[in-house]
Amino acid sequence: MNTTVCHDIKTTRIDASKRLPSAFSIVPIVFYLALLIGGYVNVTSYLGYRKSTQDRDTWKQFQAEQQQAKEGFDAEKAGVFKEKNKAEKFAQWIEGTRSLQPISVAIARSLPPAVTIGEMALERSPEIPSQIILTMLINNGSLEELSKVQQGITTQNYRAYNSQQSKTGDMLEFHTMLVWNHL
Amino acid sequence: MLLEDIQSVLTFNAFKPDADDPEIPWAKRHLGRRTLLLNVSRNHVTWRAINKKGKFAEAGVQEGEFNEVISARADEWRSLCDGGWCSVSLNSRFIMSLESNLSRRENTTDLLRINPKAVLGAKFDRGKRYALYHHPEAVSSLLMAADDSMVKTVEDQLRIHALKAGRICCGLFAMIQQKLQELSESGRPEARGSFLLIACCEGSIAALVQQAGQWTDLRCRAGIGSDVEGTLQIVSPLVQKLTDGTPTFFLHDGNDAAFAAAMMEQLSKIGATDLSEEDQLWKVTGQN
Repeated sequence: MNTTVCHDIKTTRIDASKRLPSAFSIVPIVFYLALLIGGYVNVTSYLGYRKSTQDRDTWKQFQAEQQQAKEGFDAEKAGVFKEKNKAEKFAQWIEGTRSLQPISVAIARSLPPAVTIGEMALERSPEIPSQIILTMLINNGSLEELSKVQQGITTQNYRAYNSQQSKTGDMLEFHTMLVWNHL
Repeated sequence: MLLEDIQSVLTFNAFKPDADDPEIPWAKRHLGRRTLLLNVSRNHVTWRAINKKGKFAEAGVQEGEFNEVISARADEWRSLCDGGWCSVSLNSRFIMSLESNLSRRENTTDLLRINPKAVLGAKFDRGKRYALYHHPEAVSSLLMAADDSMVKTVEDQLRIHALKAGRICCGLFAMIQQKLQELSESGRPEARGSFLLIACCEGSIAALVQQAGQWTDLRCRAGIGSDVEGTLQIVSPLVQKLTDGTPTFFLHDGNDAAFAAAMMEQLSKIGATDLSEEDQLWKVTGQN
């Protein structure tokens, strides 16, 4: 095939401009590539955004469910604590119902005949009924007698706590808190 | 304008050749578009359409001067081409001659269009438009000169009827140019030796003699019609000068089979070979 370009004798256009070099066609190609890549990034970003939104909603729902479950457990725990408090108070009440007579007998038996008890009071603590406040006045008593009194209390499974004593003449005043020793 | 420029770059139109760019082959310029090929003779006009696939389609012929024919056929022609682009072959008011020692610089073709005087020197005539084909191995050149007024008339008529001249050429000159180029590139012994080339195009004739690798004679006559006797009378003086056995080639436009057959019947007596292809004229003006 002959490729000779046929001659042309028409009037030459004066407004004709030379066409752009073929290498410049890279410009629209890059433009369209950028559009394609931009479109791809946009679509993938949008799909990712939609998935993230769905995941966020799922996790929020899961969080709400967990929160609801936690609230349920908390309510149950509060109920258990309430029951526990009731049980403790009931146990304290049971402890408080223990008879005071054996303590009185143990104290009386621990003292020798020469020593007499002027006054003795056993009062339950208003806050903790299981604890007993002991106040006594001993005539002709000494620290030795007090020690015997404490041993007598110990035999009844009580422990003297925060003991205070003062001597006025022949009178010895003894004040202590008796705490029940749990077995 | 800026928006149009950007648009043309983004649609790649800025990188495509203009429809009237003379440096690009017609088929490449109008790839995927329908165009119309016209041949304007003195007393008749022939045409051939090219479809989007680049194949030849509708053809037609009408007697009469170009002004009358285009007035009658403009609508039909516009419907046969996209954008109204036509390639026109002028077949009258032109002359071909042999010249020697013309400039062969690289930009001669452009210069011939813009400033023919710079190429032709004293041979330049203000009322003519020129085309050149140089002998590949000798100093001689084929010069075609067409009337400037004829070209302008055709351009004006096309413009008036909303058609555009993508190319205006001389079909006969284009056929000879192409065939000489083919002969030169074929490496046949005649290309460097002697031969007689007789070319006929829509009633115009040109006969070129090459002897010992040099173009020696050229006779040309435009618009003599389908007259076999008249055509042979133009050729016969050249034939008489040739030595026996000189190859003779016959080339015709491919539109008038009866005329071509009658010519070959006569030329076969001197051993002529028909080099024509089917639709020779339309292939030359519609593909190259």
